[in-house]
Amino acid sequence: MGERVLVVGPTGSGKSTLLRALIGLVPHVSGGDLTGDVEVAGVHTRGLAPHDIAARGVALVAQDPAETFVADRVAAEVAFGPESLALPEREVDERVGEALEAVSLASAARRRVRELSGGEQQRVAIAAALALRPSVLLMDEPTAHLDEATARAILELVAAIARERGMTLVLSEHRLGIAACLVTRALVIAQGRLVLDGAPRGVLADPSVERLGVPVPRSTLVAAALALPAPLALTPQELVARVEALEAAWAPPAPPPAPEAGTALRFEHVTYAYRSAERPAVRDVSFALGHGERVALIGPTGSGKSTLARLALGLRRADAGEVTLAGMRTRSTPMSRLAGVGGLVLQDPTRQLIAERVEDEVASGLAGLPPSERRSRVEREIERFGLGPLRTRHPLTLSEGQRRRVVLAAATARRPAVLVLDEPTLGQDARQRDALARLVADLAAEGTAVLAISHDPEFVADACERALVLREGSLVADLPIGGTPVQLRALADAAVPLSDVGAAVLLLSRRGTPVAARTVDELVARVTAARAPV
Amino acid sequence: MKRIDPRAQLAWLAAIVAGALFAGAPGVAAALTLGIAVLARSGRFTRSLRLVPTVLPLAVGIGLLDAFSGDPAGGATAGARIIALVVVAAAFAAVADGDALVDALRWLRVPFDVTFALVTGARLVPLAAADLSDLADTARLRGIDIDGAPPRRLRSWARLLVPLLVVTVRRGLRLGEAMEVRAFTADRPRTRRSRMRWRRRDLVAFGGALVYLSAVVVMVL
Repeated sequence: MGERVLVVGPTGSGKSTLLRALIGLVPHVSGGDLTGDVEVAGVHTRGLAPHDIAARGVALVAQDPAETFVADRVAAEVAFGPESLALPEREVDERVGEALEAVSLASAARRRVRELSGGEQQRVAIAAALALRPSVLLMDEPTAHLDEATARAILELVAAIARERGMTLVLSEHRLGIAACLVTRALVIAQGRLVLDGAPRGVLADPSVERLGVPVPRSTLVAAALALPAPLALTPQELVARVEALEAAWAPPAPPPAPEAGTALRFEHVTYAYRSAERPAVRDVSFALGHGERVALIGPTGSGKSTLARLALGLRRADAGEVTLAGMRTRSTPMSRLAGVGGLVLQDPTRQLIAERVEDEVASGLAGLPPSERRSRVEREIERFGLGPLRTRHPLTLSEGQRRRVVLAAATARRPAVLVLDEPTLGQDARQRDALARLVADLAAEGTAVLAISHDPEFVADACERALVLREGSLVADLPIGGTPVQLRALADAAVPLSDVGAAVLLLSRRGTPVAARTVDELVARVTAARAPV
Repeated sequence: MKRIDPRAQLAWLAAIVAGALFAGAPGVAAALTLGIAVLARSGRFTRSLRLVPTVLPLAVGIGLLDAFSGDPAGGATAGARIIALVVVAAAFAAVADGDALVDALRWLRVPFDVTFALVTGARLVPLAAADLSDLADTARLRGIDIDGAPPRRLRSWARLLVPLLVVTVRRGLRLGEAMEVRAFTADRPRTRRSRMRWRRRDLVAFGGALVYLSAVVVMVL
């Protein structure tokens, strides 16, 4: 009782299945064969339905709270569990008040859940679970849809509540730098098997964990490569604290080359408002993207990122100003002409699958091409994304990762001038994230400008060379993503979340050691060089 | 209207719909007027009235059918009735609170499972609309003509129905699981934390709806 357990593993390793088995969704709802025995909160799950297990003190918080809301208002949402337990009305009220107090949302009881921010919605989902007064709280990637700062706040809050109440916490989470500091034990799952079980720092120090595709914090990788003293660093702050005083400083490296001539996308004083909205979703935005540029689009929920992306592709027409995509003004060009030059890959690939076979999905945007060209493009993308064995399958029968690859293949087959990726690393493990960063580099080399909407600082640092920062529909910063302290300070000032390496570089420079590095290898090399006598 | 007890809101909905259906041109005119008035105060006037063009062909068709049968006045009323019902539904959606509606229907002894399914279904509509919008954007970016001439447009939109159904069913299953892990089961009685209290203005509104309904009954008889 009272343990806080982190479950880690690559995508598809069985983390969610484990959590679902702990509350009986596996096998009672999902089906399948369960062998062995699962005991949780003193009950055996085999003989009890999930609602009975929940009634005995086990609660689950899912990845996307918006998909699990059953009420309009916060208080009604939180009351749903206690009402299902048929508790007296007074006790329901008491539990609702207590749970909302615990997540600091007592003043929001009458607000509509759909009008809350992503972080507030996740707090409501946690309150709804706490209202069941669980002795075991299960959380399945609860911060996947949140930005770094909000994710940290949520995880710290949950860990504090679990500590305070002596509640067992089982947390599946990709943000290991934050989560590993808050738990007492870590389990590593791979291919459905438990491969490691121990103290979090000890588990993450095992080199096999990174090889499995677990997104080990880069601060940890740097600390391990530098053989820094124990305990193992998990965050940039811990890393820099363990690095001894360095003897040398380095001049910043040369700035990256300017993008090649030619503009793939241009926004000139663009404003757009939804008909029902009080204020514009995008307001007086101007910027240009060169062919082959890799740009991150960053901003809080509701800042206008998705609207800007749709304006860029001609899916929405600007109220004022001009959007030019591959030389065509989107306002006056028919969609049939814009279709070939813009690509969009959404967070949820299921909402982009419209054909009945994988190869038809990939070919679905190539109708105007000669058959031989169409065939050759389809074959190339099927090979690039490893879809050969799946080519005749129905896309909707594939796993989430496979569906995402199909959607990417369909988008890149058209060789778009601009490709928009909306949170492309959501739910992806380290290997998939690295593969995606390599794909972005390959597409850029082929001349495609990539605009990536992302909350993932490691992906942004790996894949992008420039950041556009939106706030309340306005473009508030347009900065290069580099590895020098000056560049990193500018990014931090614009509220761009820094990668572990970036944060460590900034901390080192504040300590009087100006380092320039973007990758783990660069940082390790520079710190190693600085340790040597001058 | 937003701050009025949901039981009074339901009573007004029933009275206005009854008027529009059975009280001829005056009932239709009253429904349109009241619907527009509520929408104008709700702040969702423009958004809600965007529904009207989608039912306009149906309204005109039904109106013409009656008109060609030798009853132009009846045709006009029938066409206007369709629009009035849409406006009233939009007005009710603009002021109703799903949670309160569940409470009100429960007060009317409608089983919780039924009211909850109805309200949850209504909540899924805007989510399904967003899903359809994403599917349509995908189709547009792949050069599929979904905004062109009607026959081709119809075929293109039809292609999106199966993926939309799959997405919606998945969403429904996830919601079902979320309810299950919060101890929900249809087999067990449940309590309902209700905030409904009759205040003077609610009683006045409820009484007004009954008077309106009585007037409709008198007109029909």
